[in-house]
Amino acid sequence: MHFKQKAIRITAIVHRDLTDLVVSALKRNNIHYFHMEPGRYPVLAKRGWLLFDFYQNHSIIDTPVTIFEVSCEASTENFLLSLFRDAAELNIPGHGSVYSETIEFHSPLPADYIVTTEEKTKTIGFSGLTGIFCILPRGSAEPIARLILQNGVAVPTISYGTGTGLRDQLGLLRITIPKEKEILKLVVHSSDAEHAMDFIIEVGRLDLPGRGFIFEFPIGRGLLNTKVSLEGPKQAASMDQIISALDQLYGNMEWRKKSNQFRQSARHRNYFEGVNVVINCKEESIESTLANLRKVGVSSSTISLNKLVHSQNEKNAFTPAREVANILIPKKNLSEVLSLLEETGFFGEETEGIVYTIEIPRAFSYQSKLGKRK
Amino acid sequence: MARNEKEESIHIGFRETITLILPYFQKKIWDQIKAVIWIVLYLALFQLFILRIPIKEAGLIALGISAVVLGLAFFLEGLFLGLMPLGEALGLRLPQKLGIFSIILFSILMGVGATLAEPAITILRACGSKVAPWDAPLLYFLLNEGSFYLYLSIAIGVGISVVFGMLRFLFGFSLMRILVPTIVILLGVSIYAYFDENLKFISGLAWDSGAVTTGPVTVPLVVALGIGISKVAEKNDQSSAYGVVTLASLFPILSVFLVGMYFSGKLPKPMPEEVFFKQGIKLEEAKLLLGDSYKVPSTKEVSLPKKISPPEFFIKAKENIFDAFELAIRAILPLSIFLLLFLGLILKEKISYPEEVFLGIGFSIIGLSIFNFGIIFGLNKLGDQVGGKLPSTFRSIELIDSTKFIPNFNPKSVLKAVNEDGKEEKFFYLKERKSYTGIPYHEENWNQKNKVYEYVPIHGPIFGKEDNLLGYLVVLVFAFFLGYSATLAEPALSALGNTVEETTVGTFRKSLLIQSVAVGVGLGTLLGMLKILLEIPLVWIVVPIYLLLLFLNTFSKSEFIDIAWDSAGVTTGPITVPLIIAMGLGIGNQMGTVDGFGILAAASAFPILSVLIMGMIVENSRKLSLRDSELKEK
Repeated sequence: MHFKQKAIRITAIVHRDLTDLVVSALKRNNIHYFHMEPGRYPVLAKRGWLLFDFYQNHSIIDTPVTIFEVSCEASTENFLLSLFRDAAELNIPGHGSVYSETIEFHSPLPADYIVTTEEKTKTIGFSGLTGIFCILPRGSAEPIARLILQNGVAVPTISYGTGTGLRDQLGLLRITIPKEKEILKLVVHSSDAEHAMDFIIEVGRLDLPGRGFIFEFPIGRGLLNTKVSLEGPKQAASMDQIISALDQLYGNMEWRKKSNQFRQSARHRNYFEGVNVVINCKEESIESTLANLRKVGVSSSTISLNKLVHSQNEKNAFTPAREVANILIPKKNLSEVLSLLEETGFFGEETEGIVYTIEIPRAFSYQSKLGKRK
Repeated sequence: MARNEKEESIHIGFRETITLILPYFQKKIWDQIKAVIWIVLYLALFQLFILRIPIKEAGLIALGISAVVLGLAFFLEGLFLGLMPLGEALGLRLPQKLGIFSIILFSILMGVGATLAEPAITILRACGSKVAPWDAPLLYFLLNEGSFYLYLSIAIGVGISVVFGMLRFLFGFSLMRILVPTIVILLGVSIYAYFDENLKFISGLAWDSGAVTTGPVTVPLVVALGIGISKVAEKNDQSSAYGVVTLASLFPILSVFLVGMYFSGKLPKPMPEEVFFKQGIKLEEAKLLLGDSYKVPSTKEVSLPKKISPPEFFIKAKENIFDAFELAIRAILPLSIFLLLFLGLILKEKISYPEEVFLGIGFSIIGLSIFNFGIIFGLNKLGDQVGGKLPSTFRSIELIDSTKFIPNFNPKSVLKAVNEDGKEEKFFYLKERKSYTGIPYHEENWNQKNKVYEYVPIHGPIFGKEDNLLGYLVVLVFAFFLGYSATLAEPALSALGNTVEETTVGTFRKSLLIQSVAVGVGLGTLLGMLKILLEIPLVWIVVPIYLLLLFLNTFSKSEFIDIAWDSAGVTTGPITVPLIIAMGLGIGNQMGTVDGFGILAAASAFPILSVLIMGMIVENSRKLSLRDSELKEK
């Protein structure tokens, strides 16, 4: 019987300049394990000077961010959400976002890895949100991000990763296919999710082979960044401030839904569902793990690097340099994958593996004829 | 990602292989063409339209330049496949498996090894033949007889800086803590050297050797190692993998000065040529200075280019190809073997894709050989041609390489003419193709024995009279664009740019880095040129600029400081160095300066400035994304 534990994963995307504030707040509150990963969020640039305007039709400025991930018990969700909000002052546009998801752990964990606290905090953030996770070849995220920003759908976050898949079955020829990928994440109102996905598939040409992959994931509660542009305020309050003020006024983001503005796609898409298996282990050991997983048919995955920080300095259960792989598999295959991981000693000291899953209601990628028949 | 097919082995036919490989190579080579094209076009157009001298051996140069492009493509790809993953893997494993002492030992070995492999250092020695032992004995010694000490001191300097860099990652202290004292010491030593007769002449060499050390082999390797270490380092919260490169270009300056100080006492002071030959130096001093075979070096002899017959040419070409290959092997192979052995035997780790790493090492060797060959035949030739003739913008120079030998010359055809001052001058008419040109006659060029008249054409000054201001300005503008466009092609910068883009997740674009560094190098080259033209001592350039940099540092963010200082070390590599040195020597010879050194030092100080300033601009827009609404609220 596998180890199983439900938990909440809190993801906070914070402007780089505020990273130190957040880290010290986490340490102050005795949160011993948290993951950090660098990323960026694009913002539409200010209008250029004088004639330069003709050339740069709203160019993009990339703001560096740090993506924090902490796992906690359901009762601690609100405490952590407000902790992040207060530490980075996330109610100010441009500072960042924070949101929570339900996950399920399948690996033994050290004490303190899942945060719990007695403290009761009142609920914050909006519900009714959906996250979109999208993997694209390097360099493709920017045009998509620009369109998303210009339409005011959301503020996306982009991070770097590498993909394995078809490449690895090619032998040395694999070097001819670039493995560098960009991971684009955004959080939208649930009623907009399908349209936003459709929109990204269209723009990113995800219906072609080898172009990428997209899925949506459910979100518990979230507080989102509203800063879309660097354009200075023309009115007494900037657009971003008006949006966040309205959000607070309504107590939700219902009013912001864009679905009626989206062009309805005529094409029928073959969505599929599954579970996203997140595998987190010591850097340099993910390759062999994934090679093992190929035996049970997991052919492709996206790897990104992150750092696991602990606030106590002695007795660290984990090495800080980590690799994370996101794998999407049909639900029926989960147990097979997990037992294989256990057999190969993935949870042992050698790789220090952590595994958790998130249910994915809708995913899309190019599917070969073979895939459709199944 | 989602499908659940059992693993199938994919069969790839010949045609599919080709369709995979072709676009891959196309892209890589196209990238390099885009990098190299500017410097080539620039040099060629400058020579054709401004200096108005036809390019000699154009076919060979074109071949050489294609070799540069092809070689760069292979070399960089090999670097990313082979050496960099090795370096990063080592960086990840070292702190986990070994104690601090072993890490220090490893860092020294790697720094020394990588530096001795670096191809650009040998170029310094090439300038040695131009220095006269009596003008600057210490400089002459270090470049000729004592060049071994020079290399070793540079290599040890790099080794120590790698140690400091790794310690910095492990303990997570800021770069400024090492940088500020180092620079203060360096400036102090430079100022001291300025007042010492003998040391004065090596300060250019010392600063330049700092710039030269960090090339396409050292930089990617050291940066990759740093990335690995900083990932696992507990105390390093804001993981930044940079800063080693800049240390690696500062420490050697110091070590070269130290070696200079050591030998300074044992060598004679600078003296006039006559004193040198009569009673000037003691026996042991002469032995040290001129080596065992100490005989008086013959004064500068001008060897006239002979017509090379085709078989001789092929033998020479073969030798050159062989040399280029040997140089590449020496640079890559020992280092890779050392890294592989260390990883395998001491750390007992497997590499995740061994065949990829081996392919990468192979690619690097092939690439570096082709690249070296191309540098010798393409860029160097073109650079020498332009650099040597550059002074013709403000002075008349002899075009020695287009000397004509007129056989069966009859002195009776010599005519007389009168010049503006009323003096008589001799000249004769020469029929070339269909036109007649008047050529001044000098008695000493007439060889009565074989009846050959040797005619050295004179070119320039192109812009007005001798030593005119416009001509000098043209040289300065040329220097700026030479530095700028050569930097765009520099492989180490390209590798650093990729790493910077990768580690900053695209918030710091490669193109932005390369452009700002290139502008900095251009400015630095311009200033270095000014130094030679006006004979400004290097101290007057180095001291103010570094003080300004330290001052600017206090306003910048550590992220930009690290990248800015590193890009300075990277800028001067195998493309920039020979071109800039060719230009410096060309001008230096015309101006009669003792050493043409110091341009590189200036060319690697200014990129720090330009990247820091660019960082401030970027930082400002980032702050804007955080701040403007807050300000409004207040």
